[in-house]
Amino acid sequence: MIFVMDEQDINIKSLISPINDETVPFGFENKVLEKIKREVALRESRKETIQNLLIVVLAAALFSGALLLINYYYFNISISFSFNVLDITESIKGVTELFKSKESLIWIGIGANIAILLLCERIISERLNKKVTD
Amino acid sequence: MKKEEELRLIERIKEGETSLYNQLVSHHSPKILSIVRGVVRNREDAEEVAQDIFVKAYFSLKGFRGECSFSTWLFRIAYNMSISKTRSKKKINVPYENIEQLQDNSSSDIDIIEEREKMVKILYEAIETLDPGDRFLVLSFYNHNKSIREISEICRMSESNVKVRLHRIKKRLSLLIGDKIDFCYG
Repeated sequence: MIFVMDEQDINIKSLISPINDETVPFGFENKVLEKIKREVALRESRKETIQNLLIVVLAAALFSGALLLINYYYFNISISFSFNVLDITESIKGVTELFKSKESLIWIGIGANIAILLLCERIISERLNKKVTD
Repeated sequence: MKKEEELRLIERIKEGETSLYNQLVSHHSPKILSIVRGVVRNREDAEEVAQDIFVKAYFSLKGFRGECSFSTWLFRIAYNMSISKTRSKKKINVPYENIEQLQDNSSSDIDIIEEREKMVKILYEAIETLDPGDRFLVLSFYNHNKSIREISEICRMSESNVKVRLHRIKKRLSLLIGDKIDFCYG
C-alpha cells in the first residue's frame, strides 16, 4: 500500500526543506578513516591482551596441575578434598603445605623466572614495534 | 551511485579492499550529517555522531547482506546512535540559521517571502518540541524522501505504526503552528 502525501504533507515538506543542511565539514572523511584506524589498532591490542591473559591463565593452571601431580605421584603426599565445611580449612591447609615444600618452591622459582622472561620479551617487542611504526 | 555499483563496492570492501570505504563515506555523509544534525541539534555533537556512525558501519559491514539498501541500513545505525546520543546529552537548543536559503524563492513578493520565513521558523520550533525519535521520522519522511516501508525498516516498526506516528506528529505540528500553513499557501 502506497502512502500518498496530502496537501498538508506537501506544504510541510516544502517548508521543512530549508532545514536540510547537507554540508560536509572539511576533512570529515579523513577523520572517519582516522577513527577507523585507531579502532582497528585498539581492537587488535585488546585481542592480544585477551590472548595473553588466556595464555597466562592456562600456563598457571598447567603449572599448578603439574605441581599437584608431581607431589601426589612422586612424593606420595596425599591430597583429599572434602565438601564438609569443617574439613575445607584442613584441605586448604594441606594444599598450601604442598606448595610450601622445598621441591615446589624450586618449581615456583623456575615458573616465576619464565614469567619474568616472557614479560621482558613482550616489553621489548612492543618497544621495537613502536619504533618501526614511528 | 547505482545500487548494483554500491553493492559491488561493498563486496570489494568486505573482501579486503578497505581503502574503498572512503567512497561510501563521501557518498552518504551529506544525508547522514543532515539527519543527525536534525535529531542531535548541536552541530559539533552531530559531526561526532556522524563519524561514529560510519565507524560502526565499517565494523558491521560483514553483517550487511543487502536485504535492504545500504542507505536504509546506514540510516538504521544513524537512528540508533543519534537517539542514544540525545538520551545521554542534555537538551540544547540551537537557533535555526539556514533561513537565508529561502531567498532563492522565485516569488518576487517580499511579503510572501517574509511570511514563509516566519513559517519555517515556527515549523522549526515545532519540530524542536518533538522527541528525537519523532524528529528522525519527520526528517526522514519529509526531507530525505524515505518511504514508509524504508522508515519501518530503519526504526524497526510496522508500516502501520509508522503511519500512525507520522499522522500523530502531523496533527501535533498542526496544533503547534495552527492553520498558518494554510494561510501561507492560501
